[in-house]
Amino acid sequence: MDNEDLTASHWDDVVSPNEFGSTSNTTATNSLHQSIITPLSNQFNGINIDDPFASPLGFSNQQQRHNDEEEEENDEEEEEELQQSRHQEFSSPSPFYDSNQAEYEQRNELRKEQRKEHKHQLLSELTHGSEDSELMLEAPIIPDDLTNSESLFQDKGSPIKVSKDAKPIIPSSPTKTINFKQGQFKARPRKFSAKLNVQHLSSSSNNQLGPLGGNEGEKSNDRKSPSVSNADSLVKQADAPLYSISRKTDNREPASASTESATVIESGSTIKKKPTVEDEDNPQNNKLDISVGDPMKVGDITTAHIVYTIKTTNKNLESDNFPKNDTTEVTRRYRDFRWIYHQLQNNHPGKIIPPPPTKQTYIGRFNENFIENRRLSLEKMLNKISHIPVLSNDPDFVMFLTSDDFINESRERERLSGSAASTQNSEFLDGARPSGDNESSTGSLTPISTGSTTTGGFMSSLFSISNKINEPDEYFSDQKQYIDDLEYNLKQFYKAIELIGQQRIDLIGILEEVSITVDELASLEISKITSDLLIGFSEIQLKIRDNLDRINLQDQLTLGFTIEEYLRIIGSIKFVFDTRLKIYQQYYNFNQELSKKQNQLDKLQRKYSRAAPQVDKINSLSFEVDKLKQKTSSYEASFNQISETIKLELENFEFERIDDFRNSVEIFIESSIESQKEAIELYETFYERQKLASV
Amino acid sequence: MSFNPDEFENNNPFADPLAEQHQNQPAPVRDSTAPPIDYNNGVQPPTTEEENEGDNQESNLLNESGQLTEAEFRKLIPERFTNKYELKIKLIGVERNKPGNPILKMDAQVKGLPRFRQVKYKDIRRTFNEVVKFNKYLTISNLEVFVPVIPSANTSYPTNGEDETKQLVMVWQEWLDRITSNPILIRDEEFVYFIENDFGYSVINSNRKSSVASGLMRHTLKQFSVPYDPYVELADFRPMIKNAYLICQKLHKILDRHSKTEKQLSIHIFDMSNKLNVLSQFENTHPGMKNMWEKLGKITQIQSDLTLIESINDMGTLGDGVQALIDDFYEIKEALTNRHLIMRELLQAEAQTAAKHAQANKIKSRSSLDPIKVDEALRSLEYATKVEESLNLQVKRISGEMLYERKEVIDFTEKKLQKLVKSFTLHKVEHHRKILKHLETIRLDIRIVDERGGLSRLNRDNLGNLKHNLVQSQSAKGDSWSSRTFRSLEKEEQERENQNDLGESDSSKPFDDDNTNKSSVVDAKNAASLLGIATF
Repeated sequence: MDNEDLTASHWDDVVSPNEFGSTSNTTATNSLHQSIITPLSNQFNGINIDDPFASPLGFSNQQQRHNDEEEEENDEEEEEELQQSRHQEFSSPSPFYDSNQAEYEQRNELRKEQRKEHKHQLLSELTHGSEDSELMLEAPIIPDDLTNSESLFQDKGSPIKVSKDAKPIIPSSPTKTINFKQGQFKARPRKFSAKLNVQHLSSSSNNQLGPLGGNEGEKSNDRKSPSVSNADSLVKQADAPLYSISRKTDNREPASASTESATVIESGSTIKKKPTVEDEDNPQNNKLDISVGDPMKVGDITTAHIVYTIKTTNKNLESDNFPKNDTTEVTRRYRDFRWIYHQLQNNHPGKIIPPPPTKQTYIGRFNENFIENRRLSLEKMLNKISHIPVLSNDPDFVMFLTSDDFINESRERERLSGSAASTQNSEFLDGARPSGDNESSTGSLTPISTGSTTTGGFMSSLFSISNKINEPDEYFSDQKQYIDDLEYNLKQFYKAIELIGQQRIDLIGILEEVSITVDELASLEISKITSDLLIGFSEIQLKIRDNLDRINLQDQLTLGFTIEEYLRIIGSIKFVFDTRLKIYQQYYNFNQELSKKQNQLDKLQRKYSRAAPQVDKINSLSFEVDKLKQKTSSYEASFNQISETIKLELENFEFERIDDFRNSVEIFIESSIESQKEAIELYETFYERQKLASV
Repeated sequence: MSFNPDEFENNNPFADPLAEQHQNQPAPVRDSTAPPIDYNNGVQPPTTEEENEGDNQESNLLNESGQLTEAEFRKLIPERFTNKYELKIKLIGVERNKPGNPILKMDAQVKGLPRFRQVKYKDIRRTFNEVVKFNKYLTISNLEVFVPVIPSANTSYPTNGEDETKQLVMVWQEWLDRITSNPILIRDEEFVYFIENDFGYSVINSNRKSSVASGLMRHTLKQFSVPYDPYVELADFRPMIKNAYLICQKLHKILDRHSKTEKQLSIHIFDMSNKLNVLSQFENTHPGMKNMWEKLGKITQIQSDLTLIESINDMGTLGDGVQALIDDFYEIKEALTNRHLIMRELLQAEAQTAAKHAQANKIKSRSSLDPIKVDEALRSLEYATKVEESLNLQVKRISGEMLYERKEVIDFTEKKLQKLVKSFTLHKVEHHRKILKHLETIRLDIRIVDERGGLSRLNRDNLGNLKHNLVQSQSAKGDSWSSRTFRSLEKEEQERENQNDLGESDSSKPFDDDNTNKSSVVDAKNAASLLGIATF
């Protein structure tokens, strides 16, 4: 009965702040993640049934350990339900995909509403199920499992301290896969056992608060802004995989934020982006006014390069993230811009970072036009970054804007985060398609090709989870296709504009020749009238040439520049896709391994269920399984996380794209109109002045 | 005329070698010796400019040394001092024939010319090649005239198009007017055959060969220094025409390149419109954007078409006109070269005469006279003197006529260039106006991409009425960006007609020298038709 009460109170705690009413954890994530996770978590439940730490309901550790069989049933039920719900969710977005003709916002709204509806539906269904299951959970406790866990956390040293000092590092680069592993290995088991400790030592009501409180304490460490803490908590989610419950409560912050923004979108029926909402929420956000100027050539012949002066004006002195001085001025070279770009990419997986301009061949680096163009692009890049709160508050970015000793500091940070940003390969930035140096970047997101790259168990993996891979991929393969198409089209467009520009430059040269030749003819003085006429005509040709020159430059600066910028952004997007794929690959590999080990464990357990001569082996195996499970779920979490971020980012990208292109097309049209007017005026004046009407 | 060599030091390479010796002779007053000029015809001898600077010693000396007097003009070129003869040919149509060789349909009207059997001829049909042959014959047989060259049957406009026919009718009529307005050319007997012949005309006097050197001989002769030219205008005219010829050739080449580049540009623009269309098809999530890309694509395509048309028009108006000028200038240059060759012949004849004279003198001073030798010497002297005389007359006639012709050519070039530039300008204005109109039509489409409006909204939120600033800037009231009122071509034409009428009625008054001169050479009706062609 105690247990029952506990669970009830827990449910209240967990659920009451949530606007969706009573909810089960899995469904909360599910609904938020748009049914992407559903199958995966489901699978975990199925696989990890008899693992004590795999229980999705972390609070009911004991309960669950006591009734494995019931849990199994329960899970099966849940799985059924989830599958149903998944089907529904599957069908639900289809109208949205089909309704291409519908207004974008409308569609957006509709989607949000649908999602909400489904959320409610799912929630009610699932909570119903879970309630049932809870009722059935009154079963005898099996103590064996408990000893299991105890032995596990005894293996580990004092975990709390380590986890604390390990923490701050982790959020900085959670997704850089190579380093990520290490971080996880250090941090996760300790934290996990720490929480277990708390769970076991204190009363169960403390249990739920424990992880939360711990998180809060950690948050306060680097609580620069809620958005940052959001990111941190998200990272923590990734690091604390077993505590489904605490994760959920953590998760609610970004979740509610996104739903809030969603509701804002709905209610206002205007396109308001999430950042704007966050802006209002956080007075601590950096408000920066950045200008890039004074390109200067420095260094001797061998090391000659251009440095740009970045002048930053701090508009929000309240912000803790930025030094309190009004303006700061630093000099950076192009290479440094690339560094900050990569650093941000690594710090914020899934975020589309505004990219710097492309590299330039060695020749022509000091061309005036080129430098000016690059300066403009760099300025635009920094301003765009500073308008995204998360990025603007990023310590690396702030360091980039303020540090006087950039070279060393950047090296230090790079080392700390292990990002290797300075050496990062970024061919996509320079216009080349990403080379197939790793399997994931070959571009195919289909489950088969990703499956084929994994080691072993290909067939089984195909059959076991292909069904589940399909689901998250659909959106992304669509998106990838879309982005590729967009890139192709924009490239074509850009090429056309470039060709026109070239042709116009030719034309400009010819017009000048015409003018000169006509001048020569005028100087022959065949007659006074003729000479006057020809001189006038030659002048007109020169003016027309200037006019053409101007409009040509204007077009390149508006349409050409915008297209070029978007081509680069698309490069960023592709990088984000690749990152996601890499994470997915990791997750997939671990998952494979996990299921293998799990099978082994199952076999062993079945074999020695009665007699226990091989307890050690089982223990070590189960430990391995635990570790794998942690890894798997952490990757799953970060995969989900990045998927979610990418979706939001892509949505933003669409809005911004529409905005930018509309604006540049408008400028294009308006300047064309003005140029035509000028041409008309020139010719009309000429016509009048030469009295051609009376000819 | 602004091309006044007197402003410069006389470094004329053809300067009169005898001028120095004549310097102390009293300058004769030309006006007293010259008979009164017949102003009733409106004819003024082209030496008027010399009169303007009558005090100028040098010009008087030049006059003394070789200028023609009014009486001599009358004697040498009587055609210029009568308006008894008149020939008018009107091009009534161009018929399609083999490519490059269309048929010209003409009506002709004859007044006072001998050997014509009718006064009016209708529906004379000559193929273009026949006319070209006729033109060539005229050039060869009339050394004193700058015979205009008939413009080519190939225009820059698309073949067999409406524009081409229009242009051909215009330029050929102009050419016909020019040759029929020349009093010397219409006296050429070939004209009778040209007009009276049935279908299938060929030059009757085709056996008449060029009387001047040609080919290698001509080339060699041109290498010698130019003989002394007593007429500064003509002496300066050839280098000027030659330069004009070269520059025009250059200009034509550049214009051609311009046109080709523009054509290429139009292809690129068309390419872009295609790309935009693809983009609009791709953009299927946002209807506003889709619409924007679509409209932009459409406009771009129109712009590409307009650019293509413009590239043709540029060549059609300016390019073809410049080409015609090039042809003309070339023939003028050749005619002037011919004159030089004849002058050289004259010099040779003079030398011959002097030699004969010296020989005769030698014989005379001999003690023993061989009557046969004396006879021969006298005969050869007489012959040489006759040749010299005739050559002298020929040179004088050519020079005198060319003084007239030169003025006409300059006038014509002036008018022609004005017309070319005018039509070019009008086409350009039209082109830009069309583009402007189309650009302005899609402004709204871009502003309504979504309800946030475009940049023009300047961040104002509730700007329901997006229509502001979207009216077409061109209207019947004129352009909105300037105070210029609507320029009506019809009205202009009317004014021009009025002015012509005025000019004709006041032709006796010297209110406009050029105009009166012109109306004297080209009679009023001709002039009207000549000017009236340039309607658009």
